[in-house]
Amino acid sequence: MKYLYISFLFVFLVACSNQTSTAIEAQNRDNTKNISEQDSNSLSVYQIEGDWLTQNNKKTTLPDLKGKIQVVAMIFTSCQYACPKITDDILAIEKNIMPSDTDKVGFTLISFDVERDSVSKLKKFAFDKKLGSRWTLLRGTEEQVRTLSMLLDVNYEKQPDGSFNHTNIITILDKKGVILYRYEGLEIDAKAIAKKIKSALQ
Amino acid sequence: MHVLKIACFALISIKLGFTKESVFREKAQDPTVAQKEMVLVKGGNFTPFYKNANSKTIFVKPFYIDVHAVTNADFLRFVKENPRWARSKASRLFADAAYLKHWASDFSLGKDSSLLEDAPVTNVSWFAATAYCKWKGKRLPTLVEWEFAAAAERAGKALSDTNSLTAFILKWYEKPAPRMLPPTKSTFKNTYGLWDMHGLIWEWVYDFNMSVANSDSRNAPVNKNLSCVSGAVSAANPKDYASYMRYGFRQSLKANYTVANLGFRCAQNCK
Repeated sequence: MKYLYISFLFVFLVACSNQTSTAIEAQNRDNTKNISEQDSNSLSVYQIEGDWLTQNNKKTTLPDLKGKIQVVAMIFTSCQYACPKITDDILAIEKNIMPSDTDKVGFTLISFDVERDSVSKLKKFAFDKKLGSRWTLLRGTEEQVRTLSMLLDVNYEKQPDGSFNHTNIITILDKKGVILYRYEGLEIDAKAIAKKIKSALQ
Repeated sequence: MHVLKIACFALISIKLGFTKESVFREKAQDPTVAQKEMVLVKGGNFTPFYKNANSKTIFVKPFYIDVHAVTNADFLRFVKENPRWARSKASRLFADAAYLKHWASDFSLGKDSSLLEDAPVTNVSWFAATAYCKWKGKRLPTLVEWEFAAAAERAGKALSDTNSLTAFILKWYEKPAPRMLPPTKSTFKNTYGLWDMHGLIWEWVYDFNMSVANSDSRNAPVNKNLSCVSGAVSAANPKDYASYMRYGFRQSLKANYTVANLGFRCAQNCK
């Protein structure tokens, strides 16, 4: 009887967790208000140390992303459906940002695929998807990527065929790297997100 | 066996000499000292528990793993040397508000310290556990490594059948967590020489955030339904059920969460 009870509980929990994958705004933290300097440093996801490489083969660190609001997602370039789609979603957000604000917002994709997503693969992906100069594609070590996934609350698992199962999350980071908003799923409202970014810029 | 071990030491030392810049800032201690409290788990093929039918067999490479979970005394030493991991200092991004709540203060276990010292440290986040292992020159075991090591039977007196380990685990799952955890090495030692893989605490693993319940990169709704159905099916098999509980529990965690009966042990590469 106890097992039955617990298993119901689990089915319930699983059912609940699935609900979140429709495009809802996961406001797990209200970081938009008055965060002190110290708090904002200690809550920044840019605390992950180490070097990353961009699609232009430039060595970089996460703190280099500071100064702009960043729209961030984790992908892998050989992904058939979800990653191109999430990239399209972010492109749609970019289109909805006011021309006067475009220099204040950056777009960053981080690859899960530390083995296969070489700099040239990232470059090709950026070219194929027509990602402009405001986009940064990053590759890092397995450990860096896993740690970042923990901070962005992105689940992923490598499959035997080399692809990745992963949750689809777009994260909006403030100028210091503190999470402002998270959007889960593949049906996001680009206009609404652009509006949120605009108000965060003010 | 000894030759293998020495070769392993050598390889690890060479490896550590060239470690890349690390995510966490903790300085690694001498790994050969740390390894005394570890055992070598020879790798092999392992079929981990999965929610659906296409369970795959994975080859697990040999690795070292701590004989017992990290204790409060061990963790106190770490915090003293790395004060940014003190209860009041750690960022909420890396450890939630209940981090080390069972300690009296930042650097003291309090009046229960004689009981706490040898008990496994709990109320620690994945980030804190990762930083501790790094400080030891180690790392967290992967999910597959942990499950592989935990699947071993009790050492010495063999259990009557394979279900007995499961029966033991399920019995433990049923019991509410005690207010004060018993010390490490208080449950049983398995055939690898590892203590308390079941029956004492839950343990963090490196890649606990594998997407299990919501696993398709396309987020296909069909698969979600399947996961619920098969969940109920595997629950009918008590052997899978113990694993199912662990996978379900991990699924519910976030890396900054701390839980009163969730601790960790460290592992290390061999090769």
